[in-house]
Amino acid sequence: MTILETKDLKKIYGSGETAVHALDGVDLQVQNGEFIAIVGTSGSGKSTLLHMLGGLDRPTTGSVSVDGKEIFSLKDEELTIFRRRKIGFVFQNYNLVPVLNVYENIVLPIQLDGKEPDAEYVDKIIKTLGLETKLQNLPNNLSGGQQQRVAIARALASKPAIILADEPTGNLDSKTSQDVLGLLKVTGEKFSQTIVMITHNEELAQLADRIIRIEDGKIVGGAK
Amino acid sequence: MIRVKNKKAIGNISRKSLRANRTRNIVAICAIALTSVLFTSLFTIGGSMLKTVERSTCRQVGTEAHAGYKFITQEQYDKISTHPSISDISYDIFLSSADNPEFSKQATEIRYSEDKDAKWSFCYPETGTMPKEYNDLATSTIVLDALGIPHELGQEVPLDFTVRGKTYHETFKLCGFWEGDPIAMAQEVWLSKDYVLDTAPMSNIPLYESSEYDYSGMISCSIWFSNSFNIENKITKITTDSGYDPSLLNQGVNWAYGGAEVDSTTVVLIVMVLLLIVASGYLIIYNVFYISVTKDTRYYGLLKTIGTTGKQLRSIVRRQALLLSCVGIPIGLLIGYGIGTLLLPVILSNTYYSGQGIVSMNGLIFALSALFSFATVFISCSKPAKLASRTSPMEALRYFEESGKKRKRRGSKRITTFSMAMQNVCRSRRKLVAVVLSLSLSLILVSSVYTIVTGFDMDKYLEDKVISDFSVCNSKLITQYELEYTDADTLNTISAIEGVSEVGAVYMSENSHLLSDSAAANVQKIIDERLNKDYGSKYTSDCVSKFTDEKSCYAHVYGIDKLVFDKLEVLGGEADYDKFESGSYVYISSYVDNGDSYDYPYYKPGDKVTLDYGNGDTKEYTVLGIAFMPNPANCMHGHYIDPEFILPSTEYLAHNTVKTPLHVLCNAQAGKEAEVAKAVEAYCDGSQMSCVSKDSAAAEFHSMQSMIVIVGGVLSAILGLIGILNFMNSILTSIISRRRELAMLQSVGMTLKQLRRMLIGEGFTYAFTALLASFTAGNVIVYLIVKLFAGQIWFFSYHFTLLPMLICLPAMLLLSYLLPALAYRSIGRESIVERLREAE
Repeated sequence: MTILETKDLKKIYGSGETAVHALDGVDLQVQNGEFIAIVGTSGSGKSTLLHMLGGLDRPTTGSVSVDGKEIFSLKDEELTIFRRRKIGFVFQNYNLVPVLNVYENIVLPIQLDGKEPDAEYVDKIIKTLGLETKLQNLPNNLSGGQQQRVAIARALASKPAIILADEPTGNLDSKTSQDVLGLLKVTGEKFSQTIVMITHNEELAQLADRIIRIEDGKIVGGAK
Repeated sequence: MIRVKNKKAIGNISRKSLRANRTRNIVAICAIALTSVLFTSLFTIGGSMLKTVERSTCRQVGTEAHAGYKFITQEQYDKISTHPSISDISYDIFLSSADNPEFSKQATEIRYSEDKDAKWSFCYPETGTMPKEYNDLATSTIVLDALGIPHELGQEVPLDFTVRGKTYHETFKLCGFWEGDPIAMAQEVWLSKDYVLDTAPMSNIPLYESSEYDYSGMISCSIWFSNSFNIENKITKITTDSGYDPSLLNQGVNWAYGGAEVDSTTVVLIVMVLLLIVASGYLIIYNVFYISVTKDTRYYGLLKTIGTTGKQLRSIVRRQALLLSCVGIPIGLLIGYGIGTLLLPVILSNTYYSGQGIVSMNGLIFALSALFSFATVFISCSKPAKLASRTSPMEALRYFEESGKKRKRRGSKRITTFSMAMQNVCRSRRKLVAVVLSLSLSLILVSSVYTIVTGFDMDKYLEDKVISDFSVCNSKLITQYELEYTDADTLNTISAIEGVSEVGAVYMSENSHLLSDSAAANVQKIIDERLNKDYGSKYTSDCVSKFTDEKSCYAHVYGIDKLVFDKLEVLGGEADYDKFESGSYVYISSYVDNGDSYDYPYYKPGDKVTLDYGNGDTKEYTVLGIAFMPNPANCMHGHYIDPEFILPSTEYLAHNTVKTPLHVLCNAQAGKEAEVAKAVEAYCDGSQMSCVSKDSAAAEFHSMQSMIVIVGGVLSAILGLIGILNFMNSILTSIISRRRELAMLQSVGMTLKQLRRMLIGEGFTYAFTALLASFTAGNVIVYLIVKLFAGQIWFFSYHFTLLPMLICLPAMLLLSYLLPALAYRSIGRESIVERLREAE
């Protein structure tokens, strides 16, 4: 089942002479349960693509469908709610809420929805990521790797349709990167999540099921 | 259900975000508290003034009860006292008024009273008790003093009174007394019930059915309802429900509870002050939250990324404001109440109620202040909250800070630290505007107060209040506007005082004057063209009917001495004392049209006018000119059409029977003012006269000035605090939130010195803009404010002055130098790299 699809996605910054075509007509399809890596050099448009996929920024033209829903037909508030329920993010700089502890960070999207977290499920995630002893800690009290694991837990906790990871190991050393990426893959399989990951590192990209290459705003390989 | 759960999450984030922002919280709490102080002071003073007026009026009325009946029978009393709407009732039985010669000037009544009624009439013994024994008597210290009796229980008190034609001279034993109230209309003497009923047995004939108006033995009662609304209707209902006729049965309403009648100027004044407080509170609270939200924009972007909706973000900001208010407002309520309590006597000192101030403890004051304060906070944080809600998730993901909407920047002039400073300040226009407004507001206020106070012209004031060093008249003329003359011996006593250089008397009588044909034509012109326009037809009907029915008008005839003549302002005609003194001439006033025009004279100079003194005594005079009796020498009241006829005293006394003056004025020899003052005071203390002296008028003037200085000063100080707080907050936060940027500047080569200069330049830019705005637009506003508040005051003249603003100038510049310098020190301690690396 196609869980993510884009049609002729374009994002243009500026106008006239100084127009920058960050995305220049991207067509993409992702199936449920796949682990996709999007690879490209700096300035290739991969971050922009991810932001589009997650509904964080609006395209100039084109459409994105998540779980059958065209997300840009929604208004801002509806889009936010959709994102809360259907999309999980993992960022390069973790982006945890500094004033909340680890547990609160993990269940935040669920609570924002007004729902009770599925305690068993959340426990499983926490165990899988090895965070049991750190639940009361504040983010500034954790190492980079630990913070990233919290971010992954947060992304998983709300059982989203897809998880979008933007250079998840960008700020981590090589050993920690291996660990974190391994966890990402394992949890993705265990909890049957679709993962779309951005990276510029070919080695890390090999862990994915499929590699999509992007250059100058266009897909140059692996689109299917 | 869902709402409740996510409210918890939002509440959690709000609380924790709050804790992360210590400095902002302190500033916000201070700002909210200051705003609350202003509101609370205003309402405390307002509420207390209402209460003071109410209390004072009650003392004049003679009771604090809501309503009552006067002189009813026992049967009538029994009937009405059962009415369900009565919450409390008590009565007294009238015996007679006291006839002792010592009471000729002070009305004194003799009654039996129940304890409650006595308490409500402020006549309950503070020492001793109400009468118990047959011959017991309780009364006020004023009565005792009049009779020359020491304030000791057991003293003998003689009373003379008449009941039903029989005179009594009895002696009673003092069993209790209280501190007498000088503003009460009558003093009370309580006797025992048995004595009163024995002397004046009650009859059951209602007063309105008896042919003699015999009040003795009649009951008067005081009634309380459950609240003070609609008293008139309530008591009428009691009367009619009990089967009596409201037009016959003597029911009365305590007009102290009439509800404060506020005229439109007072309402406008209050509304303006409220708006001022809201505006100044808004400026700072808005700024605090605006700065806070813009500083945390990445944080809000992050929350949006995770799935917090705009509404939820708005709620987070609002909740934080609410929590801060819960700390700030109570502090403000307390301090504001204290300030209000302290200022009340100052404000009252220049009114009739001086010394009678009662501070109101009404909970409504606090409720209203809290309400207004919360409302102000709510309004102030709504724009910042909206800003937070509109944050895009991209804010969290950007690695650069987008500053402002400008796309281009023209001009590549030399970049100096100062030009950078100005650019930085202009980055956030809103902040600049908020700070400038806040500072200017306080400057404008200081300037206004100063202009008003220094614009008071004491000479002009004195001119209207006194025309001589001393002026003696009957105290009832001033305090109660009753037409009472000086005593028979006043003129002689004053003339005989050692050190008096000149004495002048003012005589006056009220007459009806038959108009000549030409005068009648003038009056007709006045009625047609001016009367109703000036006063409204509702009030002028008696003057008009007097004219149409009798071709007459009310008139005042004055007799004056040379001292007063010298102070007459003669408009039109001649100011000739010799002619005047001859007795064949008269000065007449005209229809007052704002006091200085005489377009509507009654008689013109040269006209002949005939005055009729009664009993066939008439005399014709020639009008010498148009003149008005100076205010300090006239009789304080009159009708709308009411000419003043001014004659020399000799001429006046030749035709009038009342030979005592209305006013006795005198001047003192140079150097002897103090002695004369003492002698005049001594005379007045020993009689019912009161004296107005140049010095006392000057003191009144100064006290009015100082009241405005104090109240205006307090207000300015608080607003100044708010302005400075706003200023400090803006500068400090702008420096702290640009830590990274400043570190970046240092890393590309800007020296510490240059950096400091840039920051100080920013401070100066704020201060300078504020001063510029104040000096230009600010002064225009000062002019408008001053004209609004003081323009109507006749002894005020507007003088443009920059002095107060110039005084504040160095203070502001100093502050704008110190603050950035200090702030920079605190962040300059970390190394550049540390500051660059900081994510937050």
